[in-house]
Amino acid sequence: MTASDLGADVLGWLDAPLNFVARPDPVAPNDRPERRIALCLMVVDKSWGGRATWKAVHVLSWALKSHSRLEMVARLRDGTGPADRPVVRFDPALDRALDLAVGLGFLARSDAGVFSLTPVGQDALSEVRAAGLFVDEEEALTSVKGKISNSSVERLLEWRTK
Amino acid sequence: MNLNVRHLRLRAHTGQGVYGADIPFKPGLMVVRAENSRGKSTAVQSILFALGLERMITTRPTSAVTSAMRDRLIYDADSKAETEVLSSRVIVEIEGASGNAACVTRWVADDTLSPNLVRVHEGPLSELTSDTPFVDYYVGRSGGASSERGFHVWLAEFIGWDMPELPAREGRTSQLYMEQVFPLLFVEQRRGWGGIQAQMPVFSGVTEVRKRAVEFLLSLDVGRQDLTRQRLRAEEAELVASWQVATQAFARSLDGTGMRLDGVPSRLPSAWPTEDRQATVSEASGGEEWVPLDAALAACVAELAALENANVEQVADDSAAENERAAQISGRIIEALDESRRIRAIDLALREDILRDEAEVRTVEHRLAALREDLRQHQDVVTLQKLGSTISEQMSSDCPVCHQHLPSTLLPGDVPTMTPSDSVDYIKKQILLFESMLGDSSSAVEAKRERWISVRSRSDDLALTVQALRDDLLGRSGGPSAATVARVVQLRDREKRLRATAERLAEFQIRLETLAARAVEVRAALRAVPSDDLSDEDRKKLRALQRSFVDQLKAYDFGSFSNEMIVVSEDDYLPRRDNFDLQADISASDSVRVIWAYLLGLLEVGEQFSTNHPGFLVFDEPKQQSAKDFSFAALLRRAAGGTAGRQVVFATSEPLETLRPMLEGLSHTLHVVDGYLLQRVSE
Repeated sequence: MTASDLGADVLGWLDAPLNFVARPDPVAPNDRPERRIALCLMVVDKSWGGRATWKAVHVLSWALKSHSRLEMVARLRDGTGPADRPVVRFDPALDRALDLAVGLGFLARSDAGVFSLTPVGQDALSEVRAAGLFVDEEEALTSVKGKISNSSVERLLEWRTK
Repeated sequence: MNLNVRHLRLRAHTGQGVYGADIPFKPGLMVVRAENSRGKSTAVQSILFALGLERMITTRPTSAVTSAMRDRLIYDADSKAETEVLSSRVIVEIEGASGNAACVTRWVADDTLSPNLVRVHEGPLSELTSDTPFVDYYVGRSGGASSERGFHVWLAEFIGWDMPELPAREGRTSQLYMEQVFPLLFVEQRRGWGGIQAQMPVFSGVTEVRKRAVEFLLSLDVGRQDLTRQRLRAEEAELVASWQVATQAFARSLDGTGMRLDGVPSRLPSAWPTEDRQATVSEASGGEEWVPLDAALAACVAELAALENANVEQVADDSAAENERAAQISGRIIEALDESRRIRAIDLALREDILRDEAEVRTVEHRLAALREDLRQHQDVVTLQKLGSTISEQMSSDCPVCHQHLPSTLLPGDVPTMTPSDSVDYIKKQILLFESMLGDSSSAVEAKRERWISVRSRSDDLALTVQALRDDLLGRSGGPSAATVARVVQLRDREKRLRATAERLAEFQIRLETLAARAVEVRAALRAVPSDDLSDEDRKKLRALQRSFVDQLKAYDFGSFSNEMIVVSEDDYLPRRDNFDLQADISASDSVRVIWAYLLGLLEVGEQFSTNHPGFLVFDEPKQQSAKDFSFAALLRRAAGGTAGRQVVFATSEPLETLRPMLEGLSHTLHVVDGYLLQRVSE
């Protein structure tokens, strides 16, 4: 068998249909609807009067991601401004989670755009808590004393525009 | 194994004189009969007290005996007048494994002698005089069962028992105490009839102590094997820990010396040392390679010897030679400076390398932290789904309005997504990968640091050499050169360090070899221990126990259900029916029959096989729960049988007119207490 014969043979083997199957992609946990919805419920529950504006949900979800951000929220109360802190990022995935939560009946949205927990949402939240899940997040939220008012969230956002 | 009570003597000194009782005991069936509240329990409990077993029934030693021996006794039967007990004691004559008799005295109340004291006279009570030698032991405090003067150490030897050491909680071991075996030999009226081993004190932290007590009494192989296995496992764990401690300590002792340890597995291996696995120490040469400790030491010694021999040749006297010498020194200075430059370059390169590697280690650490956080968050989602929580339920169904699938991700577009549990597996694999990367990078950084240290010290040495060579160049010739002297000092210092390390390495190697050799033995021994199962002999004993037990239940007219359904469990050696504890759902009087049958059964097995049963059994008021006369008579009959060595003691208040017919035709000894047990005696 000559070299060219062998080459032709190899080409012959290769002349077969190639199939590519898309493998499922790994997704960051924060992009999972189950987790994100649960977090939204926790955040709304933490808000003053159990009612949170769209901005407040975004700000608190953003703050949940690190300890220093939470500290900033906590310090809103005493009015010491976070001069050297980054701006709040609005996460489109959160909007989808909120839409889903409203659609599935966990959250209610008033005409003014304020979110509050529905009875179903409250049940779901207590289930999550009873299962001992989201421990770190729960702990982070409790580290901020009291409930977080929508006006203090507005105050946080004002720094951005200053 | 043997224990027999031959005589019980009680003495109490009061203001009204000395009161007391004497009950001679005989082997075989021994019935002590007394009216209720006339001192029957005093007699029975006094035996327990004298033998230091009161912890079976109480935590306070003297409350084990009735108040008649402790504070006040009735001295006048008619008027029930009481008098204070000033001093009282119990003396029991017992017979042990060798057939010898000993008298055991314990004071219940006394001004000078504590109730923790037990006095033992060797010999029978009849020969006891004030001159008989005695030994004092103590009981009821720590050491009572283990130290040389502990009464239970003496008693165990007397009975012929070797109390086993059992694995207890928190990796400790604890002895099986006599108080834990005697509930199978001695049923006391107040608490003993609640069930088999009802009086078991569990103070030692030994797990499954009831089971262990039966295993001991029947001398089952399975118990011994289990103990052997647990002891070996504990020893193996200890060896593994020692290995790690020794290895870590030695590796740490090399930190900052420019040396490192190789070839020692971090976990105790199955064989060590092997051809490719030996403990070696190597030293960073300054360049890429590592020199084995032996080679470094040999090089050092050789250089030292060469220098010391060359010293003499350093002498020069004419000017030509002087010039020659100067040229030589200059040449060596240039050489040393070149070497120094080379070393500095390595130093810089290494420092950069180390910084880079450290940065890499930090990156990997950050990545690991992020992965672990991801894992935690994903696990939350998985748990949420497994729980079937409202949220996950809703998410898994379709949209109620448009009937489309709800998205599995919040990302835009329709991307196939890993399920949360797939993600958990995926992240776990990544974590494993990054952990091994971290391990590799960390050990690389550590090795480079040692190399760097060695380069720095080489650089220091060179600076000194150059300095000394300069001195040589300027100074007069004739003596030994300063450079050589400096080098010799350096080399001697180095030789000392290397030798010390080599010595420690040799010690370390011996330690590891000892550990590895012992581990091989322990592991082989572990493999040699038969499996958890009962041995054939064990099974024979348990079957004999079951036969005797069922036989007796028939004889005692056990009523709760058919006897054929009862088996003695191979797990806890207790009688079971359809895998349920027999004592759980039977009537109170049947429960008493179960205790009779089980304990007498243990004694009968001891008569057929080689066991630790001492052939001794005490039932205080066995006719509990108004057991039928018919059953009680059968019990007496059964107890009166058996071999000559056994002693079954019954203390009862059964009326004589019913008791006597029951005992008729049986080989027995009946002791009837007339009136109060404690009566005026002359001493």
